[in-house]
Amino acid sequence: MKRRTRIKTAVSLVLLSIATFISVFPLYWVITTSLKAPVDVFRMPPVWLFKPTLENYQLLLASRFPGYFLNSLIISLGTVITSLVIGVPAAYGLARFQLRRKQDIDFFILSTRMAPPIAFIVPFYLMWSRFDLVDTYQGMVMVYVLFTTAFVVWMMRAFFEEVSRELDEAAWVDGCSKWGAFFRVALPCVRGGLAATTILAILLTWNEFFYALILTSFNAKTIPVALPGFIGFVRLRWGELTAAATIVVAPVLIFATLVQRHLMRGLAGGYSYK
Amino acid sequence: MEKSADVRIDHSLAARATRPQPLKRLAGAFPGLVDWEAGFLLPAVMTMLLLVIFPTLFALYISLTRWNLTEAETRTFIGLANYLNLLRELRFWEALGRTAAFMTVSTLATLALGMVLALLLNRPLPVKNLFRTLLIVPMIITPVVVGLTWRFMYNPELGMINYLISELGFEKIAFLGKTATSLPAVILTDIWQYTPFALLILLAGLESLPNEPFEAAQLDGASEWQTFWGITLPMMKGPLLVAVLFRVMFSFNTFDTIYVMTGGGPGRSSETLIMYAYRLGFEQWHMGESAAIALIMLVLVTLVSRAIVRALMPEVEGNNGR
Repeated sequence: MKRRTRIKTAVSLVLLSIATFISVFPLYWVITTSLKAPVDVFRMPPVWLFKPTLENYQLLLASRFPGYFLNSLIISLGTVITSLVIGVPAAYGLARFQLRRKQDIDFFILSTRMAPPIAFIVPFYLMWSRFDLVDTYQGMVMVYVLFTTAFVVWMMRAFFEEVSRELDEAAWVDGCSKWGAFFRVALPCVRGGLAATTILAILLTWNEFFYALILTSFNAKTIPVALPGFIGFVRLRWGELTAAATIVVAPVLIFATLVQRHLMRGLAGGYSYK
Repeated sequence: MEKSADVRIDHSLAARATRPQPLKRLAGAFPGLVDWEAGFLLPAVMTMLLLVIFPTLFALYISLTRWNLTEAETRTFIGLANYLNLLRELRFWEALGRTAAFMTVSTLATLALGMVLALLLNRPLPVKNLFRTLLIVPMIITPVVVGLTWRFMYNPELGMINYLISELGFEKIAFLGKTATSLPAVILTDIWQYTPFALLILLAGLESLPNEPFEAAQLDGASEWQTFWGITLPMMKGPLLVAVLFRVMFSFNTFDTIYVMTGGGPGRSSETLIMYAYRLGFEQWHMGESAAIALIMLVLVTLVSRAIVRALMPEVEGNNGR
């Protein structure tokens, strides 16, 4: 019996190792390629051992890339701050108060996460062209706020619901106003959840491609949109491309690992099935 | 009632005396405001109305017009003509077929693989957390980077996959450059990217299952296979439903990887509905037709997710009142 368990464990470990290798290898390949000298990048059979160089990164620094990085950063932060200001009180309201039409609001918020982005892009493109909002920070933030707010409400609502409502009720009885209780009692209780929500919402905007592809061209172009540009008509700048890809992915990997615990809830839009 | 009002006044006076805050000053000006419950929701609801309802209605209107940005004379109301033209168009039905194939294959494969991995992980193992952390990497990296990485992996001259194929003595294949292989290659990338998603949801589900039924099954001498089909699977209905729903919605809307890897090509061989709508709208600038496809997609995704909920969980439907 015990031997059988040991064999099973060994088989599991082997299978999981293979799966892990398949999951991680492409990214490993991208990162190592970004550290290769241009001559080694295109060499076949692949060069496994090489002297790492930052040449590709230097090329990037000299290009327009830092500007795109800044655009991505400004748009992500602007979006997330706005949606936190709008979304967190709404989440609290949904979690705590008996409101009329609460179910409709719930469904409405969920549906914005379900709706295909393509359904919004045509009207937004035409409206934004009319109001000169195409290729601006404001324009991008307004579009992104739409789906990050839904995300923030969905996530934070679950976090507020996990905190006992008796604390808030005690504060109300003690004469604290509803907003006072929200700021001084409820918010400090969900600090961890708020941090996780913020990080995931930043990642969501940071990774976004579809809207940015259509609504930005030059001034507000974000990194995801800039990346395919390295595959030029004349030559494939694969070294620079992998370096740029590494720079985009690095913060994502770090932050996603930090909030790993909340990742599932975040990706499923706060959907709970228990 | 009266008493609590007294207390409130007392408290706010005391608070104002000890620490003046902008919020307090605001509260003094509008006494009812700090306790107005709907006020918490108002900004979010207003934003959503403005940014969701209005564009959706506008999209509906656009879909009923001939609105080509390449023509000087724009916008004529043509009723349902865009929809009727689409339904007569072979290209539309082909795109719909590819979307259905993409969705079905990707959803089933990610769920099956995710379930296998979740079962493997759901037992005492050394370095379990390390596996878990590394296995979810494909899901968290930027989708455009996923597409570009796989484009490189598939590349006939430089790609790892073709390097392996040629080392094994076979002929190199331009996966993304052939009409027969472009769609399967893109689907494979989607499976790679989202298996971790199914894994996470199913693993969380497995971990929350009660122990008793499994102990009972073991005492009865049930085989692992029987236990899985007879006990685990039926109890995992909830997590499975969530995973299926989200996978269906994600794969239905997959754009980033397809755009970066093939752009819908070669020809139209990997053109799904969303790629079709994109090409019509933002390569040929036919806004009306593009909006019509988008709205057809909106209806389809709603119908499909409802059908899935109904099929897998009749009781959920009743609970939500929807």
